[in-house]
Amino acid sequence: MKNCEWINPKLEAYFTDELPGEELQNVQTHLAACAECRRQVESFNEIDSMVRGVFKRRVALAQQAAQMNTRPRLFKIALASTSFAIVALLLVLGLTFFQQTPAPPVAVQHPPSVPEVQPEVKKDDVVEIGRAKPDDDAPAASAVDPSFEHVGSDAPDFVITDAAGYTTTLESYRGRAFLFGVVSPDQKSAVAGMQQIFDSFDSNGGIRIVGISRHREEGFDKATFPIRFNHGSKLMGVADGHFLLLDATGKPRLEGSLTDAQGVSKVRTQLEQLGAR
Amino acid sequence: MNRAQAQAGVTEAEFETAARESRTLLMQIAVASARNPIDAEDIVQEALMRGFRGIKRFRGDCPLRVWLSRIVVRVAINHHRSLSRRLKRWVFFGDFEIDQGDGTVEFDPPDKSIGVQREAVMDLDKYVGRLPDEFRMPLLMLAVEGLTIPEIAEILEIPPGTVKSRIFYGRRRLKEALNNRRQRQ
Repeated sequence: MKNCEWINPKLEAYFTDELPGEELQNVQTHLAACAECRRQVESFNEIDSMVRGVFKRRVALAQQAAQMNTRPRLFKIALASTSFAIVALLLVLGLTFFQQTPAPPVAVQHPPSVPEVQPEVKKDDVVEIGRAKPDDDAPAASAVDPSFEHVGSDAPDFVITDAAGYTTTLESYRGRAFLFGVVSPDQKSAVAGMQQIFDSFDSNGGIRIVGISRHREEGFDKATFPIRFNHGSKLMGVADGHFLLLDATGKPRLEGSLTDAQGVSKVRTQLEQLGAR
Repeated sequence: MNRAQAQAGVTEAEFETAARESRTLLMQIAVASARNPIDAEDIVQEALMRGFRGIKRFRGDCPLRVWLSRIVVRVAINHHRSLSRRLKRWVFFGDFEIDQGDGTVEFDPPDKSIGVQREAVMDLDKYVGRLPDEFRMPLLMLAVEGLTIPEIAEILEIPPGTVKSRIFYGRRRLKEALNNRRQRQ
């Protein structure tokens, strides 16, 4: 066991982005060097991806339950009315057997069994509005759309997560130029292009550079640029293997292919225009 | 019912549109908030009903979907406690089976690269269910597509820093639970 005790109290701040710059640097340097601590941080990330698995499983269960919702309700009504009838019957029988005097009024207990159960199927108009009619004409699938993964037209423009699962939007990158490239491990040339851009401009404090993968996947072993994961957003419409440079106000300035040999010089020219170099 | 319209500036039609559009989000929030996912649909129904009834209390200081999400969270907390729901869950589980074989339940394994077994996820589900509300909710909400920390903070009505640290402690508890499980095996 090396002298790693000092890092434990810092982990919370590390994961909640609250470490001041210098300490963050210390922690990052240490993590790069110490396999044991890296393993510890990775195990937090493992938990996160497993929690995602748990969540998806729960969503699937919820959808199935929603589709089957009518069945238990009918079953419950049947169960309630049957038990009510049986109780009433026993009551009547018991009274007729054990009481000398006949007690006909008790038999009147039968009818209430129907209205007692009635509220279960009440057609409250307020319920109807909230219900979005999953039980009626509208297809059940529309009520609970299983395609959460699908990036639809109503998807946000830009939402990414880091390896720890924290979500970031474009607002977080305001104030400096921001360049992101959409990469995937199987597109080696795009990753190399991204790396080249990162190597050329990383030391420039006026720009932040991030590679974004559409899915949470491994395989960026050689890349040293930060990898983020798309979180169901449109990524400003940037295609795979392309990059987008935004200025400090978040306005797109330059879009291009990561495999373009001229990419670096184009970015440099644009950065000079933005005064970030 | 122009009563609601006059006081809150949100018409019935607007409410209905918002409810329809945020249906998927509310369902996911309900899954993240409920201790038992099969209650999610009921929670959303009840939350929409309450939202509709209490629309005049909507002051417009946040988006309608956030306001509805907050109701979902509140309903979820109380929902689990009610006895009739427990009965229903019991009835429901009577004829409910998680069928993985024919693909009716879409189960997405976590990142394959990590090499985690599905068993661990099933166990983790159990541990997630045991987490107190304040840790479980932000942790699961983080898995909702497109939901950011500030938005979670807005829905749970706590500061973003608190959301982050609760997520951290939630993860740590789960990690410890899994470690204990490994040691037992």
